[in-house]
Amino acid sequence: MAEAVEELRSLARELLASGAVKAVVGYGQALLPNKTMPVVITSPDQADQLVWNKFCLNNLAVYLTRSEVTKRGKVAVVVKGCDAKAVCGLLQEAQVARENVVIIGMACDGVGEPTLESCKFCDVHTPKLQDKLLGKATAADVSPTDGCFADVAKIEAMPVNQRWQFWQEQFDRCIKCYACRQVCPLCYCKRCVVEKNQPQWVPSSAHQVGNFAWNVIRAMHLAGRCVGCGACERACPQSLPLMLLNKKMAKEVAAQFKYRAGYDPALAPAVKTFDAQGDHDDLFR
Amino acid sequence: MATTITRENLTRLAEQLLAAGQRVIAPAKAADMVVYKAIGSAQEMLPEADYILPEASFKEFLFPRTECVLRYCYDEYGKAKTESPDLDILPTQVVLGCRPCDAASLPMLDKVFGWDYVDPFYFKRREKTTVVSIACSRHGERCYCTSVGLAPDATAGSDVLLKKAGDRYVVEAVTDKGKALIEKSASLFEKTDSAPKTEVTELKPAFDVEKVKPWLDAHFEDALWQEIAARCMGCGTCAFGCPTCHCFDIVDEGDLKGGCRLKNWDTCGSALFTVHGSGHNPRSSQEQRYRQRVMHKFKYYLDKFETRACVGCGRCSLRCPVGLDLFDVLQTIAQRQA
Repeated sequence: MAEAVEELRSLARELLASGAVKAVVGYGQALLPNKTMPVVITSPDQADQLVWNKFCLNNLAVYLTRSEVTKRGKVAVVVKGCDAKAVCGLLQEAQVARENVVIIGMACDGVGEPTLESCKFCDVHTPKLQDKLLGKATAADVSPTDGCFADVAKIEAMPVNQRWQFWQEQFDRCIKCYACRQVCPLCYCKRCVVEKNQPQWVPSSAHQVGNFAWNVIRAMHLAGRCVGCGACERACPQSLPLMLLNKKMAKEVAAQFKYRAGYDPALAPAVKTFDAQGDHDDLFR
Repeated sequence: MATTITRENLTRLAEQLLAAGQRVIAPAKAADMVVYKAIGSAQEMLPEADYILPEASFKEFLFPRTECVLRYCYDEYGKAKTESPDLDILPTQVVLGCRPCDAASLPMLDKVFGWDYVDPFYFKRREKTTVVSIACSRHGERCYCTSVGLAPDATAGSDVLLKKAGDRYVVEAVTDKGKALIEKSASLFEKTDSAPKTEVTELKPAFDVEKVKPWLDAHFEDALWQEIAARCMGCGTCAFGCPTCHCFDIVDEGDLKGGCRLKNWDTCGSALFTVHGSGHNPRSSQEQRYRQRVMHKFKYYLDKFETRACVGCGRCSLRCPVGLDLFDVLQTIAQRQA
């Protein structure tokens, strides 16, 4: 997997030298050991900053809607299969113009040390959406099975008051830092619902009501849109199990709309479409 | 002559304090992390050898994440009545086993909370808090207290300082409050003729912090800010874990009958932090916001209060989801000023 780094560096050099892109968003070496960090390089001589290894955890698609990066012009972004799904979502929702981004897809055998749980249920070791594919995946794609929702099923099996207790304990730790929102590529609203204060729809305070409201609303706003990259859970400084919420929504959307986010940029997002014939109308009983 | 306390007696001290109705804040487990927690039993308190630095600071016990500062309601004539919370009913509390860097944040926070308005919500809690620190016998990979004028056994902000000496701690009463705590539980402490050898980690300063402010004074505009801040996501992870970050937002929560005014943690990294009612935002780009963070801690605070607002705990670097490393930034700045 790591052999593709030289190809990546020469591709970045070429793209910047030719002026095809004004910046390349990739991974660079962080100062702390076994850690990488996002880097934005703007000239060919910086290409050696780029790295590619199993510590490349961040989802860099998030930078495609950050004006600090996009104000420079056309951008190239280094993505794993999961990150590419987020780019797909941004394209579906018209947040990125296809001609303004060069998608550098990296074949990936899983990241993290130990390998992330979500990588064990990955079916995009080879990114499906890319302009250039680098490397070759040796890990086999795993079709989503009930296996990846086993932790969700555990919560679903709890009686309601136990579930309430569980989530209360989790959300008690929330400090409303919004790291989950900031690192999420699909949380791109210039003014988030929690920042609207005329009136204040969602309490911004880090008390029980405010924490519940925030985390549940974010999960609802991501239903059918979250691609399951896990960046939110990794960013959370308080160890909130955010992916449980997102996977629950994904499970419901798959069952009710036969739709999984991030696989086809030509499809309209599930929550944006209504098919009078096909959609289940059990909203009103 | 020295005063010592065994590890077992430190746990007994926690028991005694809890039994006396005091709130005890100690490093304890929460999910998969070690955090400062108001413990319910002495057993929750983690042995000092089990961790280097709790996940976040203990500032929430002097400066809560969210706090009601005013209550209001309307009487039957529609006239507003307001009520301030009674701060005298706040519990007395002992921070038992914090790190010297965390304790050192208190004299720094005192400056801003005691500046143009003496904040009773902070100072009432401060009065009711006794701080017992444990000097570091190991340091973390991002610790840099010695680079900002502190030390693994600094006493700033502590009322009592404990230093590891084998299976016990050598006890230093730093303040009268600390002396009082020791006297109250005198049976748990021992006096020895000679001071046992203490284990305090060695941490060489990694950069000359005196070079940082002169560079900041002269480089408000510099390409460095754009280079570093391009990756900053503008979340509050660094600010909320930081022992010295103190900015807050005031919000009202209520309905037609009444409600309360809350003081909530805020972060200068947030895009909306400086948005004016007019819509104008003087810090509209992340570079401007990141620059302000460094300036505030290493220039403005010095200009105003002759104190830096950083204890070198390294949490911001460890917690940042995109690898922003203040230690690296400071080192870079100090080198450029050479």
